[in-house]
Order: sequence, then C-alpha cells, then structure tokens
Amino acid sequence: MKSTSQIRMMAYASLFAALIAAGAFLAIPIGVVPIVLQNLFVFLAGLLLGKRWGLWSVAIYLLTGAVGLPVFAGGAGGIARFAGPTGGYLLGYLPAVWLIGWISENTRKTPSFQVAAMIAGSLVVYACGVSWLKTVTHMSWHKAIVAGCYPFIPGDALKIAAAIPIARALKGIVRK
Amino acid sequence: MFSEHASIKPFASRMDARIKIFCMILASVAVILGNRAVLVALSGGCLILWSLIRIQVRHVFRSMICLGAMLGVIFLTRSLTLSFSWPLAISWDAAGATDGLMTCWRLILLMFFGLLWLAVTSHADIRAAVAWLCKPVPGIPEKRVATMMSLTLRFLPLIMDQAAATSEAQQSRCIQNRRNPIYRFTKFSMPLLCRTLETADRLADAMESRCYSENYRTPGTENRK
Amino acid sequence: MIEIRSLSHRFPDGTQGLEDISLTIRSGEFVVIAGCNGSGKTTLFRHLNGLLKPDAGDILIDGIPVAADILRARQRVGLVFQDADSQIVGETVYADVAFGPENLCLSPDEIRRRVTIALNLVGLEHLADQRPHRLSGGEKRRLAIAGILAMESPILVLDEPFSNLDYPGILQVQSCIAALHAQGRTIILSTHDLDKVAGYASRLILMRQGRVIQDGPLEALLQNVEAAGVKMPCRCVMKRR
Repeated sequence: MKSTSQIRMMAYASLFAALIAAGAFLAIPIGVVPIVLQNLFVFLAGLLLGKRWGLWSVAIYLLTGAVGLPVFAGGAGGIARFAGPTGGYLLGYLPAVWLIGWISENTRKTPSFQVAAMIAGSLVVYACGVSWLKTVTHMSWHKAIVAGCYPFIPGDALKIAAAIPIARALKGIVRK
Repeated sequence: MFSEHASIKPFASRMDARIKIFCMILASVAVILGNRAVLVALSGGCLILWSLIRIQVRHVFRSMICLGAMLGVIFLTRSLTLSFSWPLAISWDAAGATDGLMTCWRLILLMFFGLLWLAVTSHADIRAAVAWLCKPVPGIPEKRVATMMSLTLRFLPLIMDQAAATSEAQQSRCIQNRRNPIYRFTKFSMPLLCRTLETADRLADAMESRCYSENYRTPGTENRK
Repeated sequence: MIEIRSLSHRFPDGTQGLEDISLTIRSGEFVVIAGCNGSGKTTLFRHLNGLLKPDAGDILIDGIPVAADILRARQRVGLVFQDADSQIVGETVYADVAFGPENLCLSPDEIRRRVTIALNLVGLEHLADQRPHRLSGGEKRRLAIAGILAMESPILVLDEPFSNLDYPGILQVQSCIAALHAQGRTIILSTHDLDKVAGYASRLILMRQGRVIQDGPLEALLQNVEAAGVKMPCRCVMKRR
C-alpha cells in the first residue's frame, strides 16, 4: 500500500535527519584524531533511502537547524551557521545525497558503483564546502583546498569503505 | 523599572510566530546585504531587544564559544597572510582586516537575532511557522515538513542515548584494542542503526494505527488562535 | 577480590552520583545491590571496569587499581548492561559472542574454544547460527552474558538482569547465574526485586542517594529493605503477617 510505505519512509528519513545531526557529535577515535560520523550517515541516507527520501532527510536536518532548533553541533546556530566558514559543507550535503541516491538507484547495486556514488557525493561536498570557505575567509584556492579538503580525505575514505558493509547489512531491515 | 521591562517577553512570546519568522527573515537579509549604516542601526535594535527581553547569558554560552571560534578563523585568515614558503612570513593586511571585521559583525548579529527568536518562540510554534511558510511552495507537503521536524527532534536524544549505551557495552568488551578504523566504524554504527531503525519502524506503525495522513489540516497554526 | 575505598563520583551537571563508598567483595561471593532508581547502582558498576573515573577514592581489582590498567580491569570484571539489545553487535549469535575475544586478539582456535564454552554455559549452543534479534528476551539476556563470559572474567557484574523478562526468561537467567556462581565466579547484580535472588545470594547491599546504607547477610537484612525503597520479598511479608 502506498501510504503505508510513505509513512515508513517518512519515519526513516526523519531518523536519518536526526542521525546526521547526531553524527556531528558522535566521533570514533582513530589514533588520536576523533573522526565524526556525520557524512557517513549522509552516505547511508543516500544509499538506503534513495534520492528522494535521502534529500528529504538532509533538507529536514538543514531546515531544522536553520530555524534555530538545536540540531547543530556547538549550540544554537541558525542561519549564522550557514553564513559561517563551514556552511558550504552543510549545504553541499543536499546535492551530494541526491547524487548518491540517484547513482545507486540507476546502477546495479554492486560495491563498486556504491563506492563511485559516494566518491562523487564527497566531491560535491568538497566543492561546495571549499568554495564557500574561500569566499568567507578570502583564502587563495590553494590554501582553501589545503585547509578544507585534504585533511578530511583519509577519514572520508575510511567512512566510504565502512558504508559498504553497513548498507549491505541494513538493506534487509529498511523496508521500502 | 525591571518589572516594566520584563513584561515585553510574554508579549513577544504571544506574538504570532509567523510575524516573528517574517521579521527574522527580513533582519537576516538586511544583516547579510546591508552596509555599515544598516549594521549600526540593526545592532542598536538588537541590543535594545536583548536588554528588553533579558536573555540569560548562561543559556547561550555554548553557542557563543562556537561563534567565537568561527569569528577568530575568519578574522585571522582575512587579516593575516601566511606564506608557506621558507622563511615563514606573516604579513598584516589592513583592508582585509576591516573586511574581516565586517563579516564577523554580520555573523554576530545573525547569531544574536537567532537567539532572540529562540528565546521568545517555542519549538512547536517554530515548527508551525515553518510549515506555514512551506505551504505556498508547490510540491512540498507542509504537514510532512512539520511532522518530520518534530520526529527528528524526538529521535535525536534517543540516538545519543543509544550511542552512549552501545559505546559503553563495546568498551566493556575491549573494543579499544582494535586499531582497524573500518572495523570500529562498522561495529559502532551497525547496532546503533539497527536499533534506531527498529524504533522508527514501530513509530511508523503507531502513526499509521492512529490514522496519520498528510491530507488533513496542518496542526499548529490554525488551531492556535 | 574487589576493594572499593571511599569512592565518590559527581556528574558533570553537578549531581552527586556516589558518595564515600567503601566495600570489599571477596572472590566467590554472590552480592546483590538493591535500591531505587537513581540510587547509584549503575554508576557504581560503571566504575568497576573503568567506564567512569572516580572523583575521589579508588578501586582495586585483585590489588591493582582499575585506572592503572583499564584493559585488565575490563577482562577481570565483565559488565552485563541492562539493555541487552544495545550490547549485541554480531550478525549471528556466534559472531556476537566472538566479538570480545576477537578484540583481545586471541588465536582463532582459542576464540572458537571460548565461544563454544560460553554458549554451552548459557545454553544457547543450538542457536549459534541464529540472527540475534530473532531471539526471545531471556535468550538475548543470556547472549549478553555469554558475550561477557567469553572474556573469561572471573567477576560478573549484572545490571538489572531480570528487567523486562517474562517468567520463563527470568527462570532461564536465574538458573544461568546460579550455575555460573556454582562454578566459582564472583557475582554482583543489581535488582529491585529481591524475590528473584533471595534463594541464591549471600550478601545484600542497600543503596540510597549514592551511599551504601546497609551491608550484610541477605537474610538478616530482608526485614528492613523497605527503608531503601526496595520491595520486601513476598515470603517475608507473609511471615510478618
């Protein structure tokens, strides 16, 4: 039945919006560096929920934060968070999750395609994040990339690798 | 004198959230686009409102720290130019510094307006106002937006508790002995996701059994008056 | 042996979790810790294997402070949490029990040996290939216990092991704990319901508001448990009438 699955997907998408919000607080210590899980949940939202509901979950997360409800790390942020140096990464999640969902819906669901989808999604996040970082801080492109992209690549690569087994195991639980 | 002042807060809280959100949007646009004169005027207005509503600084302390770090980064990167070639040289850029100060000013104002809005608007009103704003946008069911926002806020503490429980149980079984980060990510996320997805499933069933449907009237804005 | 010396803990929000607790628990004892919600039982348990750090005082496990070697403390003291579901990580019952020994980087043969023994002890060997969320409440609780047994901890700490279980589930967990005690393990468990442990336990510690208010042989203390907000076992109530 259509409405049944719609309510279920709505609950899942809200859950992922909350997971993305929680992901900014949850960190796994790798060596001495804690790595936050936020974009892992963005990847999973795209892979598990598809482009439409993945987009909903990120949009709800951003909207909830934008109007000042407490979902952003570091207290109430609201609009100021988007205008700040890291706002581009947050907005970049929107096209990224759609792209990941679109690629994984329109290709065979093999790990290689999923990895490609997540790499494409990450590139979109970096593109938005770094260009906004450059605009806000007036750094040169080179410096903006050194500060806003390179340090995150190893962590993101690990998260992409972890997302594959997680997505496979959860496929059966997420009822569409 | 203070008792007289304190009476504005209940008034502001009773004000329709739609008017307040409209004011917020106007103020934000003005803060982002305005020149120095506009900023001075807005800062004055913001200060007056702050003193009238008397927000307790204690509550907003965490937001302030985060904002402070953000501002520091912006100001330093704009005013200082660091050359990475040897010898390391740092040069001061006066035009960049003024520019950076302006940006910081705008951000501070945005943040303070945001805190004002939060101080006088309940979460339920915020959701209702957002849903009302979404109504004229085609293709976006405003009831779904409001429901999903409240579900998200409901899930968030649940996820944090679940994450803490999972992390403690795994520490008790010596997970910190494992160095492989992919293993750590997977073993941490899997139980968290399984458990919370089950909760979402039960919630969806409960909503359906109570006849949730997007075709009914939006709760909140209409019923409020 | 566990020695707790004037242990105090204050939570970051300022509330006092534990206040000046001193206890000695000898090997092979079966200790019940009872008290209302919020009396500090779980907080105390978290200190026993280093999940929380004391603000004052210290805890010695066989003479060595917990803080000096947390990994050792976690192997010596196995902590079974109240919510079984959040402890289960494996995709099968077998994989879940193997999680702890794998983290200890043991050889595959040793892991297999430990998992088999642990599953036999809790009586889940026939379900080794099942998916954990198919299990019943009592089976899940026993799986959580097996996961800790595979660490070969001589001291087992169980937080509310009977909560949310149906009657058969309670019986399963009861007999499982009794059997483990009979094998010489030290058992420390918390409960609101003394009926479920009255026949097995030897010592009762009553807690209220982060303090130990009574400590002694179970039978001797049963008459004044209600002062700590714990329900008196039915048979004592009958006797009194």
